[in-house]
Amino acid sequence: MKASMSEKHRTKALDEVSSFLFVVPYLVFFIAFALIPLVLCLTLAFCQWDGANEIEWIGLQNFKLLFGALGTGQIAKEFWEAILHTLLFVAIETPLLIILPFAVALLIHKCKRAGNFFMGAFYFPSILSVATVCIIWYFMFDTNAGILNNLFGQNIPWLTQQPYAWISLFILSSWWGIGGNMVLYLAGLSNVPKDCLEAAALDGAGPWRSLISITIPCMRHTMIYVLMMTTLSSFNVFGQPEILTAGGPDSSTTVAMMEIYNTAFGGSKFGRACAMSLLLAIIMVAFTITSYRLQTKGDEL
Amino acid sequence: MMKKIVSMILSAALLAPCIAFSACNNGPVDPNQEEEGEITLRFWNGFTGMDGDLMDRIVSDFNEEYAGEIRIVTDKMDWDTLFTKLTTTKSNLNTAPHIVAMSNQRLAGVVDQELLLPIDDLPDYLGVSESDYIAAAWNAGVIDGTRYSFPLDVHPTAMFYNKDLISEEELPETWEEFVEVCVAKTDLDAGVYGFAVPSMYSITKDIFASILLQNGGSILDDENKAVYNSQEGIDALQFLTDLVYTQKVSPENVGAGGDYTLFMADRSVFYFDGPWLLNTFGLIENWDTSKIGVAPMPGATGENGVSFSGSHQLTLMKNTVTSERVKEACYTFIQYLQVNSIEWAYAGQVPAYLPTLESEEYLAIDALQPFTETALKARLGETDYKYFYEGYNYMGVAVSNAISGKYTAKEALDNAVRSFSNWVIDNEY
Amino acid sequence: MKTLHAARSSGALRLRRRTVNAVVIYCALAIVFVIFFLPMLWGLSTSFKVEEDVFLTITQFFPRRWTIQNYVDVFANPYTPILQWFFNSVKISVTYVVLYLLITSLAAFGFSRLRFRGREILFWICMSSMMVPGVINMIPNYFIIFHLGLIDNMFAMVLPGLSGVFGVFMLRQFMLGVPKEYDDAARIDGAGKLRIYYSIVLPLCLPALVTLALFSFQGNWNDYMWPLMVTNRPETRTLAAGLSTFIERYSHQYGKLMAGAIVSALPVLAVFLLGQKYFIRGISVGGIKG
Repeated sequence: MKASMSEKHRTKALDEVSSFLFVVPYLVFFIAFALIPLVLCLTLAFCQWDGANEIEWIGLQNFKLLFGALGTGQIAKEFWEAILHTLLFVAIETPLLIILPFAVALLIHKCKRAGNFFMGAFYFPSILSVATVCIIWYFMFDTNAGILNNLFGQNIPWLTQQPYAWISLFILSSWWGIGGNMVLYLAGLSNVPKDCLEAAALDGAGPWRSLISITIPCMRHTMIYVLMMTTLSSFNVFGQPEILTAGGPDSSTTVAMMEIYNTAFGGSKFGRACAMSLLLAIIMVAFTITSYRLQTKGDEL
Repeated sequence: MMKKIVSMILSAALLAPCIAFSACNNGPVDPNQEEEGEITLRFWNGFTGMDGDLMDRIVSDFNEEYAGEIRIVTDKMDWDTLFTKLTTTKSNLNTAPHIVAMSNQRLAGVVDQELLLPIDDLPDYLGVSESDYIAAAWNAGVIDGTRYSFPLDVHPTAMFYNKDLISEEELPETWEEFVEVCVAKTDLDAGVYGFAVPSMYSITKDIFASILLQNGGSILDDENKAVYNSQEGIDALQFLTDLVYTQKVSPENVGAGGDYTLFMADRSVFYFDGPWLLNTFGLIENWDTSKIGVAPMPGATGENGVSFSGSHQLTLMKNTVTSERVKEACYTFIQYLQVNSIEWAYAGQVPAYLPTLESEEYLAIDALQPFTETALKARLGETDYKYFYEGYNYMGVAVSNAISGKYTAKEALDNAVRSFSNWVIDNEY
Repeated sequence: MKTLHAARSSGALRLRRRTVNAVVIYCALAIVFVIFFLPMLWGLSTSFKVEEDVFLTITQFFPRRWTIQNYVDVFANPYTPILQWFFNSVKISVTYVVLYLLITSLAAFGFSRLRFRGREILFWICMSSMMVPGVINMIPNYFIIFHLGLIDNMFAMVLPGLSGVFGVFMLRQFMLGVPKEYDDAARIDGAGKLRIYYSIVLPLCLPALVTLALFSFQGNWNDYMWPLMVTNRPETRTLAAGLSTFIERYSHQYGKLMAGAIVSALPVLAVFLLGQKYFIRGISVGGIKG
């Protein structure tokens, strides 16, 4: 009796170990190239380091500076403005990149013949590098010689005045980002069981009704994935405002990542840059967890 | 005390794997440490444009001439990557550079990181003195009485013009004439402007800085305080703003590259930029046949002429250039660059070495002469201050804010000066 | 007779409604497509324009004078070994995608279907790394790669990317949707974990794997900041990193820039179109009930 108990324990332990082995290859790379940098970032946030010389422990000084408790508050002001700009981008771009690709994916999914053609066409922008995308759109948006203004006979200062600069960034980012999410949605849509939809149709449910009560619930996992990925990548927005508007006009499109990048590499203040990333990360975590909670709660109901 | 211990532990923690790895990863001993044999020097630069092709050619000529003694290996990357990597070179000597080319505006920041080797004895080695070089470029290498860099070239801003829209005789030499010509040439019905003033951070801030200097102002004062909000600065910015809103020789909202677009579309008479564009336009070969010409910026030449400019400088790294023999090899290369600087002129740069500028071969390159005249009178700003680059960028925001009509010239400049001085206080923490 | 007539007319009605629906869908797609296509067409046509025409005919979508000179220049310049970059990129991206799919699918299988102590905590620790901006990882990773002696080595551009948690998360999400009953049935038949992994879960995840392959290929192919950091010699660079030096080189020559951009985008498009087939096949094979 006792022997078989320990035998049971041993097989269970063995089972756990063999289960654990599945995640080991990934964990090796995770520790080497993600966890160590993460720990380093956490530590450096309390240090001063110029990347070349000795690392100096300075406690909470970086955070005090970023909260305006030290100095004149200029750096704090610039940092929190940049955070606000990032939040604005996230608040508008994330819904756009969730709804628009879904609509396009639905249309393509319904489309029997040229579906593949449209899929390829809509996906194409997202394989271009951010620099290429920005150069192309630069010529679209140019106020005096640009294509959009010429086509529609307008004189809109797309890139040089607000709110047009933000609108330009949203247009560009949506154009660039629709393809990626659309592909994910299409994968999800194809997994929606056909018999459910047919049964609903027989019961007299219209397309709108079956979309709400069958398609969307069936795509829960895809939607959560798209939501989280889009939120995270929107928080990391960097290339578009850097290249298209250079953070202007009047620093109004300077986002958090630009501040962090310039602090680290322009100003060689790696400690402060890590503190900035940490604050940005906290905001991101709070935001993501909240939206994840809301999503799963909605599912349970 | 506590702080110090933590700092030491942290440094040790970061350095320990480095030492451990380098111990098992030592490989061959640095050949440069031997007493004899070929020396390999790594040369980092950001000449990724067409100028880089010419620098590569100079280097390969050098390698041929010094085969068996010195070999230069060039690593090219864009400037941002170069400075990012440079900060981390202290612990990785295997791939660290010996010679680095950099802009004079970034020099003081790198000096502050204690990465550079003082090279006070280089002028004696080369047998040259200040009178052999464009003075501004020569002096830019000296920071707090120590020489850290040696000038390669000067790259001032000049005025490109469209020959289809203006003849050589009509070219302006002062800003007053410039305004007159622009007003006369602006034809709103045809969509042609005198000069499209770019309203985002770009060449406009160099033009502003030049007018500021011409008015008798300066960017920083003797104590490195920003003073571009002086009356001279306000006048300079007002002048540029008036081009857009009063004389209306420029469209509004030109943006960052709209000036180039309008110029290339035959819709703007003038366009300002540096000499690197000569190769883009093919002007060095096709000077007579091109529809584009180039002339000095108004007010930059003549007796009281002055303008703002930048300069590429050569520096040696403290951590890799550790023996006299290696240092001498570096000096040999710098000497070669100086003697052959005519080759560098073809890359679309004005060599800082005066005998080259006076050589017949150089004088025969017509396209460079307007830049040369400007370069001789150029000033580089107070770049021995480690925050000059940042101060200059704050100034750029002010210029752009005034030209896009968001603030008046005075408000914009005052804001920039206040923000910059506050930022400097904060950044010291 | 009457009923027959009614049936026919209702059939016709349904047919008509279906046609109307199709027309609406195609119209909507066409409109979105035109909006999408405008900038792409501009980029494509610019790459075939003579350099001085680019600005003179900026608002004309079709070149006045056609030329392939831009493409010739892009390939012929000895200082931009674009073919070498292309082969480097193929080698690196393919290696990366294969390794990444293998490692992440194993991990996702572990995190979604197997039980071991600390599973949830471990998973959320991994997820937390997503919050650290890549810029911050760059410096420590640069140190690590340097001290592994991998500068100018292709694995410098493969290994750090393997730590990306995106794939684990995505595949885990997908595997959670695969019913557990399949595993139980297999287990009763005596199949081990590894067997369940490759003969049941992997085939069912094919659409997700293809999608992930596409995304990771695209990400690795388009990354330019990191390859620039870990390569010093131009001949060891990837296409995207090489092209980013290209952007400075031809900073005002948009014809050549666009030619370079299109050349670099085509392989990804090819992979997408190839993958698309599998994608659709994978969908019809995988009988996943949501």
